[in-house]
Amino acid sequence: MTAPVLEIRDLHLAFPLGRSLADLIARRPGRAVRALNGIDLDLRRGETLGIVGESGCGKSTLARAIVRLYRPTSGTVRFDGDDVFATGNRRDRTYNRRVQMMFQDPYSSLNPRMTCGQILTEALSVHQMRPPAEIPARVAELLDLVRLPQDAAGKLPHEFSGGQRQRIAIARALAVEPEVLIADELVSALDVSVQAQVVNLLLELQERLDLTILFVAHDLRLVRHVSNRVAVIYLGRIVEIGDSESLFAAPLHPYSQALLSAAPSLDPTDRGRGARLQGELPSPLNIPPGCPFHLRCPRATDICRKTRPDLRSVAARGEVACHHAEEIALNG
Amino acid sequence: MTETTLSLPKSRSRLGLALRRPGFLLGAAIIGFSTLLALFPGLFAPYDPNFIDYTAVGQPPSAAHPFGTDMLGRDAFSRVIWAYRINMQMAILATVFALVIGVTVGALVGYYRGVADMIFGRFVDAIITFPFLVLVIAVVAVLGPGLINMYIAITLVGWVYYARLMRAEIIGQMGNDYAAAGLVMGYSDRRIIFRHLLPNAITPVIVYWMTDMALAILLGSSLGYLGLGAQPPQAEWGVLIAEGRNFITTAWWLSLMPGIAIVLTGLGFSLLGDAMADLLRPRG
Repeated sequence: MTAPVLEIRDLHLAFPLGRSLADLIARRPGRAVRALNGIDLDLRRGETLGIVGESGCGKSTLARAIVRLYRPTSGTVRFDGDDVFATGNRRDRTYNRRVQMMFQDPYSSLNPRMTCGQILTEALSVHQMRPPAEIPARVAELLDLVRLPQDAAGKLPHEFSGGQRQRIAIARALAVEPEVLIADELVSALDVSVQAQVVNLLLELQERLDLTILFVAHDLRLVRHVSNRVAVIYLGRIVEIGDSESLFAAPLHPYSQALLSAAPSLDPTDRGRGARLQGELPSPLNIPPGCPFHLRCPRATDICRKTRPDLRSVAARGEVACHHAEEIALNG
Repeated sequence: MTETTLSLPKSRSRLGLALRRPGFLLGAAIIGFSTLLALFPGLFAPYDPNFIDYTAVGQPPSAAHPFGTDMLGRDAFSRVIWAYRINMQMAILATVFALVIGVTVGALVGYYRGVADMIFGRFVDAIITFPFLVLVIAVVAVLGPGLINMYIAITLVGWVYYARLMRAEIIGQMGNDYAAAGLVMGYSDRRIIFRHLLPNAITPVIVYWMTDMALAILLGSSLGYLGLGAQPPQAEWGVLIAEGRNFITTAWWLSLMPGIAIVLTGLGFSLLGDAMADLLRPRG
């Protein structure tokens, strides 16, 4: 097994809400949205790791924390062994160059007053990817790479469709020749037909450029199509991580089961497998004790209400955070 | 699997659209002509504004003196025209420094937030609580009357309004992913603020600037009227109105004509600001 490019250890991130008057009177600390609660994750070189979960589970927060848009409350993110949040590394631009991100909203991720060419030129010249004289040629090359016509360079973002804009965003990320790409809901704002184009382009580029991709999405079929491995996140914790095929074929965590069974399938024999989820996602302001999933879990027992299960290898099929995983692995 | 881009017919450029608007045309015409008068008053004024003609004191409007003459026999028409020089200069000098300071401070506190932003917020609250004119008069009272001190006073108070607007706009723009993308790209704060956020955030500030120029003329004339701004015998609209005040029942035109000049220029700046809002809005 190759060494991981990104090592995330026990990552916590809470957004404080400020202390209310009631908090002050009761002398308790202010409340906080606990978005990430101990994420452990390795991103292996060359793989595509899918991150799935409900809205509000912390997928995007994780993606943004990795590229240092948010500062974690505790825990580490190591890139090639270097802690990216260490004081000496905070302003280090090489990390920004080597780990790039693409955003969900194609309408807000490009500066509306800069042409596509200016956007790409800026990335190239700030990071001095090419001598100034070669930059126009490189811009043309990048446009080619993401299959945009050459006259796109002179156009402003509003002259493009959503899919084209996401391709500009991909080109911008690729301009600095990164090793890791974080795709945060890259295509969820696009039409299905355009989604396929953009995703297939991304996969093709991954192969040609030897990229490692963290693919955050809520569309399970898309993640299955794209990823080698998949991590399922629930309330800021990974509840199951494993090989994409086996996880989708036989999920071991009751939450993964419920999540997968909620996704529409074209296979008629697939229908109705697993339990429908009861209840709402608990508020990240107030995470239940014990297993965070026990309030909604059809298999919850006493131990689930008391002790939080840790992520552990189960039946050589990946890692699961559930007290009953062995049982599930045996009996389905 | 086709991607087509729908776009409006290209023939209508933004300027073209703006030119169709009567408001824009009128505003541009007024401000354009006012600027001409301010730059070359000698070409339009029939007399020297300070030439005292004792043979023509307190005359009503006539062919020789369209706005009449004042009690020293100076031609009121020439004085109103020469006042354009001072009053148009007011529109620029009383606002441009406030604009630059306000935009810079607002952009910085909006971007960095933190303690500086909190202090800025309280400071703005304190300034805005006072009526603008009262504060400016207080500053002029300390510095002493005169045009330069008046510009300093208006700038000291006025920048706050630009900064407040700019700060809010920058914070709004920060919510867009292109700002996040700039951070992920490792761009410097300066680049993100001035190349990315500022061009997208400045439109409302420019529009406010246009209306503020009208307000600056009004404020400058008020201070001139009160004796705190331009000093007689300098021809300035506020001063002219003050000079005519004592004869308002017998020679009302002495005060009315500079008043009309103030209203017209103010209208011009407002109309132009309105059109500017449409011109500068990014499309898409």
